[in-house]
Amino acid sequence: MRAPRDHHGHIVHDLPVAPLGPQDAVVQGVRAGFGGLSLGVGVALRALEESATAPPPSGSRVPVSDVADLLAGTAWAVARLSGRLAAAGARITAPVLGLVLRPPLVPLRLQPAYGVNLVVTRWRRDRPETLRTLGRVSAAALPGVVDAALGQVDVDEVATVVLDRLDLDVLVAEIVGRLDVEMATLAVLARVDLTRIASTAIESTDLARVIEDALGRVDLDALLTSALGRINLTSVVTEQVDLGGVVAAALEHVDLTQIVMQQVDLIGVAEYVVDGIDLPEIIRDSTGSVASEAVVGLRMQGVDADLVLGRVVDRMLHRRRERRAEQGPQPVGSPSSDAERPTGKPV
Amino acid sequence: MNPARPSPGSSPPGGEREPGRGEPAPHTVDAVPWEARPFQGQRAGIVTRTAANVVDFAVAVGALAAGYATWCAVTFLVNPAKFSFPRLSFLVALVCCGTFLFAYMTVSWATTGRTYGDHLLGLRVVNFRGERLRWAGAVVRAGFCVLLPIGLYWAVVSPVNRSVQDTLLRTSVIYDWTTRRRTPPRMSRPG
Repeated sequence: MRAPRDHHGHIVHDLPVAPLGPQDAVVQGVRAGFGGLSLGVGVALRALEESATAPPPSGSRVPVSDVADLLAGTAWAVARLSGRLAAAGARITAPVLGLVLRPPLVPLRLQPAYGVNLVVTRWRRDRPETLRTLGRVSAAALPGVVDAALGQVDVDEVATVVLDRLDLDVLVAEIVGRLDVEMATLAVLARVDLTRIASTAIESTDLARVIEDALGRVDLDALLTSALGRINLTSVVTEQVDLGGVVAAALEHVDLTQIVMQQVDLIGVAEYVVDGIDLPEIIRDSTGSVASEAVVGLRMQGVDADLVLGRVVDRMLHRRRERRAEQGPQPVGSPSSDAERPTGKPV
Repeated sequence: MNPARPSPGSSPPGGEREPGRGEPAPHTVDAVPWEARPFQGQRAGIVTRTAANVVDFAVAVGALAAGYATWCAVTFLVNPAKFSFPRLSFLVALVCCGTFLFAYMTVSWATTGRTYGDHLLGLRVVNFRGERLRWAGAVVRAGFCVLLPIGLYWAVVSPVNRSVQDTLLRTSVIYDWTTRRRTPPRMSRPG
């Protein structure tokens, strides 16, 4: 818990705590003093042990720590006895002290208690300024003091000692629990050049080995089956792939004619096609109806002449509708009955 | 790759039967040139029909000439000493020509649907159903054409390219460049 501070950042001592009596204050002060004394003695003994260069001599000797504890215990017993005596004396002298501070029949301003109160009031008034002055002096002197102190200390060793005494797992868990991890991550990512980091990582990584290791751990068949099941591969290929270029490149390396001649039953295909298209009928048409190019030309000229003459006559007769030259009903059962009916408008 | 082949003769011509599995689907491949396919099945105009009739008339004249030559040869062989070219009046020649044309047209229309002139110009005579004429219809139309040849030229002014004979007998003369005895389906231009 941070101590309350004023608007200058200085610590103020106006917490709502119960007022401490002089006897309790003395007890607490004595206990704190002994605590500090014990801590200082421990540190000093440890420093002495670590700084000792010669090995300890053999033989039974009383350890220094036991001597120190004996002295401290004796002092603690004396202090306790003194405290009890002081408490008893205070209980006895309290009425007398009150009478001295506030003697009867004496004006208020002349009573010793008035002077005491005046001193206390002035101190309380001047105390914030003294604290502020202390703060300024500390701010100016503390960096130098800290630097000087750190100059005397092996910081790495201190850090090692601290880390040895910390339960890092608990500490990290506590920190993570208090942090907004998502916001912290976003803030870090905003300040990081991910491209440069990724490039550096790729340059310093054996990608071939990583990929080979990854492929060895992945069930490629299942992965590909799952991926292909989620995409429309046909549309992807038709939209993204230059199929014409692929086929052309493939045909450059493949002798398609040889493959077809080796793998395809060409005679069977030819017979299949001939059976499907009624080739004899085509031959009859070609040799019977279309005898020669001259006949075709004659027929086409006749058709053209029919059209021209029909248009001329229609124009002379002021006929707006074109001639309906389509034939009547088609023969039943013939292919033409199912085919598109003529429109009567020659193309 | 070995396509299943249909057994020979299993698929009737014309594609009326549904193809089975493995059998090739019947396709009609026409030998008619692309530029003429749009006109197939339409009624022919007067120019083409006149040209066809001229050819038929030439055939008739040729047949008469052949008959006359045959007659002369027979007469010569019977009595060479008194041989002279037989005289033939115009009326007799006209009747003979008309008779030949009548028989020629009747047989042609009732059997193939086209005379030689029609064949040369790519025409075919069909009835109102689009089928080949029956014998009775062919006889009536041939007689009508021989007796009233000028009726052909009603097709000039007819809005449906029909002569007087076609109008009365409900027949049509259509473009048909195929040799099939049916009306060809109309096809569209390529591309």
